[in-house]
Amino acid sequence: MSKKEKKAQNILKRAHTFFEKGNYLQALVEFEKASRFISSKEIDKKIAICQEKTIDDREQDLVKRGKKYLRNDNVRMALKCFEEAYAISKNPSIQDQINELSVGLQSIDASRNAEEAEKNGDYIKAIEYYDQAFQHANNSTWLNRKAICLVKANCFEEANALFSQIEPDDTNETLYNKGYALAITGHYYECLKVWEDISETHEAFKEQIQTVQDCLKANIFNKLRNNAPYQTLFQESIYIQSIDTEPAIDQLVEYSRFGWIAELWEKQDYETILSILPPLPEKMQPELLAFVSKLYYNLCENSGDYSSDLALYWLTSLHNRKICNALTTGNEDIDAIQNELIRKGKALLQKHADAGNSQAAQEFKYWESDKTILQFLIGIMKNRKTMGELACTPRFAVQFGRAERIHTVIKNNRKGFPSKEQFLKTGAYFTPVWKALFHIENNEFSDALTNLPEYNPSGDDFYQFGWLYVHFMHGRYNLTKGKKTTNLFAKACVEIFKLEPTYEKELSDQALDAISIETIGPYEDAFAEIYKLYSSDLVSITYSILICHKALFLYNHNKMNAKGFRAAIQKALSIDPENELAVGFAKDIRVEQDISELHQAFERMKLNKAARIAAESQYPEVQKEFFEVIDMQMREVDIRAEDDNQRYVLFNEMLRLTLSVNPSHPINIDLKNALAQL
Amino acid sequence: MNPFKILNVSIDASQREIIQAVTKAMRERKHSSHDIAIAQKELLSPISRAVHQFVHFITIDSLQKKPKRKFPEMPETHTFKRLTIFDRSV
Repeated sequence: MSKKEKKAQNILKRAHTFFEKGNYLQALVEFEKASRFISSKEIDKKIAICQEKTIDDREQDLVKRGKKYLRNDNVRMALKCFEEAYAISKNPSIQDQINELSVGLQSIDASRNAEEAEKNGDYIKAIEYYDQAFQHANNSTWLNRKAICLVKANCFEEANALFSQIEPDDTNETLYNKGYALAITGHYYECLKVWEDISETHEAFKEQIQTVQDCLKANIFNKLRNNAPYQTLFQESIYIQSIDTEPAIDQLVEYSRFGWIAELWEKQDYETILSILPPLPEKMQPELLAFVSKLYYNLCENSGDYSSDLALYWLTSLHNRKICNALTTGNEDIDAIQNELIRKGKALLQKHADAGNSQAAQEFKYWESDKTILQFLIGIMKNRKTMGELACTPRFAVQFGRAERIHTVIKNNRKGFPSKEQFLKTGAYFTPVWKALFHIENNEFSDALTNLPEYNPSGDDFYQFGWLYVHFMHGRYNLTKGKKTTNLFAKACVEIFKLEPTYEKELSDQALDAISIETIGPYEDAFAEIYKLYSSDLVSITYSILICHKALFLYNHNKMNAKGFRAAIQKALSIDPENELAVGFAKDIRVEQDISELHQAFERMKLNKAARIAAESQYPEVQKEFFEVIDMQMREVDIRAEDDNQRYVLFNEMLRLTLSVNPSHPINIDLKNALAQL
Repeated sequence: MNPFKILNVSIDASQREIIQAVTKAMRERKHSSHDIAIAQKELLSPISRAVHQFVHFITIDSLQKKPKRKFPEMPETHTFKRLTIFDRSV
């Protein structure tokens, strides 16, 4: 093989190696070299393949570079890369990319021109360029700049229109210009709202804000005269009210508020009405009260979450004399209408309560209490004409500051109450204790205590009574369940008993009916505390009996010894000496004690002592026992005595003793007969 | 349920107007015939009508008093020049 052929083979070998490794560029170079020496179809084929592959690589490389330029926002260079790539491959997708980029580049160029024009103060030109730029690309920044240029070019209406279509950025520049355009075109309120978001304290800007505010104030009464929409008047007057207090503005706020409310009512948009409702004054005129109650009724029709509000206003509203009188303009029965409205209010609460709304369930429970108290209050009021405006439910009174006036009414109508307790309890409902009292009415004793406000020592009589009453009722309930009472229970009992003695009787009866030790114990403890403060006859009797009951139970169950039992009975007697139960127990104890001492004396052969015990004891049982022992000893004389002399001595001694105890006892005759026989 | 809205009648609609409204409401079919029947029944009964009048209409004339005020002078607008303090450097 020649040198030339050998060289060619080596080149070819290298070419194949590069080809197999996929390095088509090098392979092409080698194959082209080889083709100069060797003419072969196979080499030509390989060259063609290499050329195709390298074209692909070059194209991909250019596309990759083009995308990289795009990511860095260098549209121009990206376009150049794609154009080169297209020149190589004529790939249609690359053509599409090129078209897109060309358009984008036009937009960018246009925007650059626009910025240049704006910088030079040629705002109209700038606007045109921005229009061009925006034709091909959707860019919110350009729209914002166009809008600003419109303002600078004094095209305020167009600026307003554009700002309203786009989402303006939140830069101070955009916000200021947007606001400025609005102000210049007479939209002062809208301008001020936009400018609220500008964080700038420059004096010139502050002055300008003031100027716009002055325009707003001056313009609002023009709007009023020209029958502008109530919503607009309300929103603008509310804003003015926040910066300037003036009676006319306050009136305008209320005028426009209620004008808007009337419109919203027509649309049944109760939620929005609620959001613009004014703060409700303590002295609420009937029209406002009626309106508010209707509002909450309609809100509650759709949601039980307004149950408390409905309960607050509905009953009070329907018992207001003026509102009631306006229920009919014809001959309809006012009472029937009123009752039906009350029924509907209650039915609404029931509906939500049944659906599981806990707020509604609670208000439904309180409904009758509210109604009863309110109607009772109206019933006792002498001067119904003036008082008809005052009557309200307890919670309404407490919330709207009517409690004091109602207390005056209650005090002035004292004779209308059957008892002092009823008088005080009614007044107590119109104090902050009202909620706890409602819980008591519904037998929710734990909740009552939880909802009792902090004790106020300077509270009036009604408050004090209500507060103590809750503690009393809570304690009374706890005792029935065998639970302890609160520390204040005893004090509450004392006050309540003084006011209404029937409570003392009820509690005592309740205590004496207790059967199990679980309940007797707490009762005894409670009465111990009560007794310390208030030792009335009934309390003393009850306490004394409770001591006996408890002691007997413990003694019978071997949880108390005889000594302890005796001490308890003594204590009971010290509290109530006429406690028959204690007296009986004491007697039994004494009898037992005397008999025990009697037997002890006999066992120790202290017969004189035994006789003395029997003689001195007030209990016939002791004497009886003595004579039984003597009788037994009489029968045992034959066992004890050896002869008649000893028998004589023993019988004689016995006779002496028996005569000292009871000379008329029959045993004396037996002893005398026994002696006679000896 | 607002029977006045269902039958599209005013607060002082007469019985005749109510009955005519029922016919119209049936034709328009914006509400079910059941609701229309109930609305008719409610409005033709004096008590329930009075109840619905109370619930669905408000009287706020006394709450809405139109204020009277002199018109203050409008500030001079030519002093209302656009500030450049917010302009960014373009």
